Amino acid sequence: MGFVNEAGWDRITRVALGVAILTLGWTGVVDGAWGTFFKIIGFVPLLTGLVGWCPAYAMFRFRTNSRSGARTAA
Amino acid sequence: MRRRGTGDPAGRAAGSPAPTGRRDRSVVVVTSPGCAECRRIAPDLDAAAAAHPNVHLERLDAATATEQARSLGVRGTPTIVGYRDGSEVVRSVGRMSRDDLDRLFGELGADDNVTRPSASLTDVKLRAGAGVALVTIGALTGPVWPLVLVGIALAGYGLAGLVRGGPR
Repeated sequence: MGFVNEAGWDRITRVALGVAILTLGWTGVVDGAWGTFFKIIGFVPLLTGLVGWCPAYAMFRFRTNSRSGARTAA
Repeated sequence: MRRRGTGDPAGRAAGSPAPTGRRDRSVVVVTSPGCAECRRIAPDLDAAAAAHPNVHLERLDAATATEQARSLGVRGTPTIVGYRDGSEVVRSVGRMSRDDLDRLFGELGADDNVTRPSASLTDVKLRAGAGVALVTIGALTGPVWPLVLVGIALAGYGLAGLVRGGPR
């Protein structure tokens, strides 16, 4: 379970952003070098959102989902 | 409603037997009266337990079952301990999201001998949603076959998570 380091909202945002970027690239709205760039780079947020793990987060030991947080027992 | 666990109050460590003496899959949740997070996750626990009826949910109140909580090595609440085949396999202290709880119950309840990652409801929704969006956009704007094909693959992968026994 510790593999996933993204919260639900983070994952949804990434997937939406990835779909949007891929759409702009593959439909020709953005063409030329930028279009090619969009066609490729769009897979990054899409895949990281689908998997729930961001390598950049992992590198900096950052996460947007909640994990352990000790509470003092009564 | 709180239910107390019964069983051996001996010291606990990873791999040690479940406090209730159960030999199947169970989750023991240790709470305390003043713990707001314990109250917050209570409905999520009930939902996860209802979605995975083959995993038994046991609740312990640290204030009244102090010895048992101490024997479990509890240092904060909520503490959630998962047991599979009677041995502790996972432990979490503090807040857990509904998805994390659902995943924990799903992994404990998996039929395989090897615990494997299971798709949560969020995973299924994201895959299917992204797939449908890509198929729709690709079909309406061309068709742009790369988008359509990737979308079909994603949607199929997401729906396969439903067919394979449902999200866990």
